[in-house]
Amino acid sequence: MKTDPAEVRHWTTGAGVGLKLCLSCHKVCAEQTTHCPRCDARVYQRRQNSITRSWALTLTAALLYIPANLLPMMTVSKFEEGQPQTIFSGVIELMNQGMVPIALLVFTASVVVPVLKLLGMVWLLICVRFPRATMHRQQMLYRMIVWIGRWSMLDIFIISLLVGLVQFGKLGTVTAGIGAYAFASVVVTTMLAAMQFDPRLLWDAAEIKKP
Amino acid sequence: MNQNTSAPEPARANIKKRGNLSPVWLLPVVALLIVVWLAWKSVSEAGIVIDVQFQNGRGIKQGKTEVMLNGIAVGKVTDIAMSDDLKSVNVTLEMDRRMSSSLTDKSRFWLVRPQVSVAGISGLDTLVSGNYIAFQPDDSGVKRRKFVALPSPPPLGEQEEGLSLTLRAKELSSIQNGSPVYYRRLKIGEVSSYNLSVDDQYVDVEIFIKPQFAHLVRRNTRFWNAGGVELSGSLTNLKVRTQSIVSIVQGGVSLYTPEWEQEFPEAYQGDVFPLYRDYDEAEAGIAVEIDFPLDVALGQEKTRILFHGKEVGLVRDTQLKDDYSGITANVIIRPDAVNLMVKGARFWLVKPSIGLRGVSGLETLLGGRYINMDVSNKDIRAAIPKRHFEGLASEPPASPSAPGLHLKLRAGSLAGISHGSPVLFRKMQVGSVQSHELTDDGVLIRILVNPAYQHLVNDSSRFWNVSGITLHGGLQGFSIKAGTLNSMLAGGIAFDTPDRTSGKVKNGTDFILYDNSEKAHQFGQRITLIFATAEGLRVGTKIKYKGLVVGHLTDLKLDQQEGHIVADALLGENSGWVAHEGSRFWLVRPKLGLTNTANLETLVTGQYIEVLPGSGQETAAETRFTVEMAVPDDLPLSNGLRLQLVSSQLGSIRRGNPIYYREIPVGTVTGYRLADPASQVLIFINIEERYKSLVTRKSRFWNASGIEVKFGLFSGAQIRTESLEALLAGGISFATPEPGEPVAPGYRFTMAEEPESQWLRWAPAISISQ
Ligand SMILES: [Zn+2]
Repeated sequence: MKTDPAEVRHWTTGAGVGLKLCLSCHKVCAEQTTHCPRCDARVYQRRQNSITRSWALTLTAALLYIPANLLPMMTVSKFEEGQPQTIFSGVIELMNQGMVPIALLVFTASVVVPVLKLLGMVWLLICVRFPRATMHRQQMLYRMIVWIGRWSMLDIFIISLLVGLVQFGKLGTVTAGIGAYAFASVVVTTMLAAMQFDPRLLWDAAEIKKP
Repeated sequence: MNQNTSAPEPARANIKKRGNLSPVWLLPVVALLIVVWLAWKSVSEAGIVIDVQFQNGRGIKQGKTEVMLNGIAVGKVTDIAMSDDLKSVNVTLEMDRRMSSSLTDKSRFWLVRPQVSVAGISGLDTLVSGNYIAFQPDDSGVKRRKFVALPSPPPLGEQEEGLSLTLRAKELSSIQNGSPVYYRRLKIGEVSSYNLSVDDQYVDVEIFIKPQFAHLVRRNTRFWNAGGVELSGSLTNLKVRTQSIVSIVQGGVSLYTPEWEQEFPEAYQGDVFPLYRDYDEAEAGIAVEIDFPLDVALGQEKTRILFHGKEVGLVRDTQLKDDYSGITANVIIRPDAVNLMVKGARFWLVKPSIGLRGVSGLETLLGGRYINMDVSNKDIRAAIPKRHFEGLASEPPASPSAPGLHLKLRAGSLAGISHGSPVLFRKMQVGSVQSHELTDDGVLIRILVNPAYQHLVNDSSRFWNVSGITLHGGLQGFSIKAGTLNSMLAGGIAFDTPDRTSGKVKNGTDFILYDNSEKAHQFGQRITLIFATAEGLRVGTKIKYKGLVVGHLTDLKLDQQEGHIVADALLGENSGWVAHEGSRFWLVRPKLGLTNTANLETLVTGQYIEVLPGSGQETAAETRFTVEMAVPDDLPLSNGLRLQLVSSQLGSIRRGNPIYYREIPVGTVTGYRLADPASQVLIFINIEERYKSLVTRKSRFWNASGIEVKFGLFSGAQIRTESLEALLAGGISFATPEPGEPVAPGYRFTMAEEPESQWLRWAPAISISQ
């Protein structure tokens, strides 16, 4: 039977019909079950304290984002001479040396993505609190945040690679700066924030608004 | 039924509000704390931003160039901008907050760049680390935030705390900025700058001594130019002195504090020292003046003073004396030789000389002349300091106080002996000739016998000359005598000591230097012979008695007052008895004549002196005799009977004519003279010993010379002669009528002109003594 797009808007949630979803193996369970009969994971109707945790982690990430940008990410020293580079100074240096694509890549991965993630998280959390109709966009944003999260580790990956590989004593070494830890913390906390966020809350919020 | 009972209310989940805060909020709190801490830290550690004006911005990089203090970064260039007038560069520095109190108007900034020059490489560290801005803080000034950088690095002394000194040099030589200052070849500082002195007469070299070495500089410290390679000395004694490779190229200054001088206080900041040209000059030990005679040509400089081959000093310069009577050499004696500069020290110039005794001072040909000095231990012990000496043109005799036995030898001539000739004992050198000088009657030779051998000399020692080669030649063969090869060439004196127990001699004792060993060992009696003329005489003319040599002449002299020749003669050890009162000496010379050739052997062996000892051993010994220039007439030959004949005419009688008895020669005519009064002639004859008995008082003598030719009317011509020899040489015959008593010596007969006929018939039976 063909469904009308207008009808699609009218859905029922699992909670509405007394069902739960196991988030591990995606088995639909009865409302009373506390553990998934298939994979024995705990089954919630909605993730507990999801919003609070997300907020806390997002806030943490936002705070850590300040030192991550102000403190040097790494020091590339040649002949014991080298200047600690922050993310931004590194990007500028790459620009100065004419490596615009790499600069853009680094800028995107290190500045744009984390900022967008944080902003997206905040936006989503606000949406949960103040429900709005544009649920499709929120869903897309959430998926993007989750997808993008793995790429925001690019910097850390590069730094850890360089630190491990470039150890030529006095000729040249790369050492990670304290900013790298901060940046790694930002990435991790934003990922955790995105993980803690239960997208089903967006449905609830949309439902509240619908009647 | 309970009315109040209502339908049970649906069970409501008892929803409790969980604790106000989830523990997850700790995370943002922690993050906040971190941020706050970082913020606080960055604010608290934020640098001080200052502006420094540089002449140009070459080598300064924004964000990279650091400000260094003692090798530690204390700031960084954060911005570079041109000044408004486009003539300089404003560099913005972010300085360490801790520097805030040091940023005063006395603080200084300058750019350190690598500088590669002949003087060396400075700022080498900047090659790797890049240029940096040096910062010299000073807390004492007024704080400020705007500075003007120095155009060039300030002198080292001003950069660090240390000792800054001024060295005053006559010329700069190879010294440059940054030339090292060495102490025992360790770099302890460097030359910071140099300049002409105010009066343009000197070069003032500013040096900086690092603080940890400042105590090494005393007020008596000597500085000298250690730059380059210093070649000194001579071919034989080449000295290459250099401090280090660096100093060869960029010059340098060395310093040394004489240890022998008493402790001086440490030098003060800014003290002025002279900078000597080289090490030798700097080690300017003790200035000593030595006066040399004018004819001593001293080398201009670098004439060394040697003490037993060790260099003890150097002639700094020479100058004429004020009155042009000599040359004064200003000598610098090395400090370690100060003790030698005492009263009694002697200096003389050593020149090369080539002679038979070898080449002496050969090293001076290569190494240049040098001045030798000597001083005895005694004088050193006495230690009377002296700073002005009289130099000698040639080597002096050993100092009288030098160890060893000093002796004086008197000789007629040097005969090959020269200064340094060896004194030999059993052909081993035990001493040397120290000097020789002329005296009124010959030469005086001073010798020094080494202390180890001085016991070999005593009263009985005899010295003789062994110089050269002595050739003793004669008909009887010849011998060659030489001391050692050395003494042959260089001359030499030998001695021996026959009596080891004889008395010891003191310094300065006189000895006679004999010409040869024989003379030295003739211990006979010395007599003086007086000759009318020295013709045919020489030293060594033998004195014979009965053909046996009993002595010889040792010296011939002209006695000007008396006008005769005075000869010293030495009689053999056991022949002294020939010289007695009454002894007679005469000269035996070759005689060539028609009828009388005598003493031919003297043509080869030379003339000799015959002696006839005075009769009787008991007569007093005498030492002065007059030598007759011919065989005495009145003396018998060695033995026989001496008789005198009186004749009116000598006729053809000559000395040596035979005396015939029955035409057999039994004696000779030994001489003749006018009798006193001169009415007759005395003829001395000598009858051989064995024929003594033939002569009695009744014997008759007649002249047997010539040919007796008698003419008679009836008897015809009668020719008679004793013998052919008598015919040619003349002779005397005698006859005796009968045996009788022999006559006493000196008995006087009358010689007849011709024999009576009866004499010829006498034929007594006289037995001839055996
Ligand atoms: Zn499950």
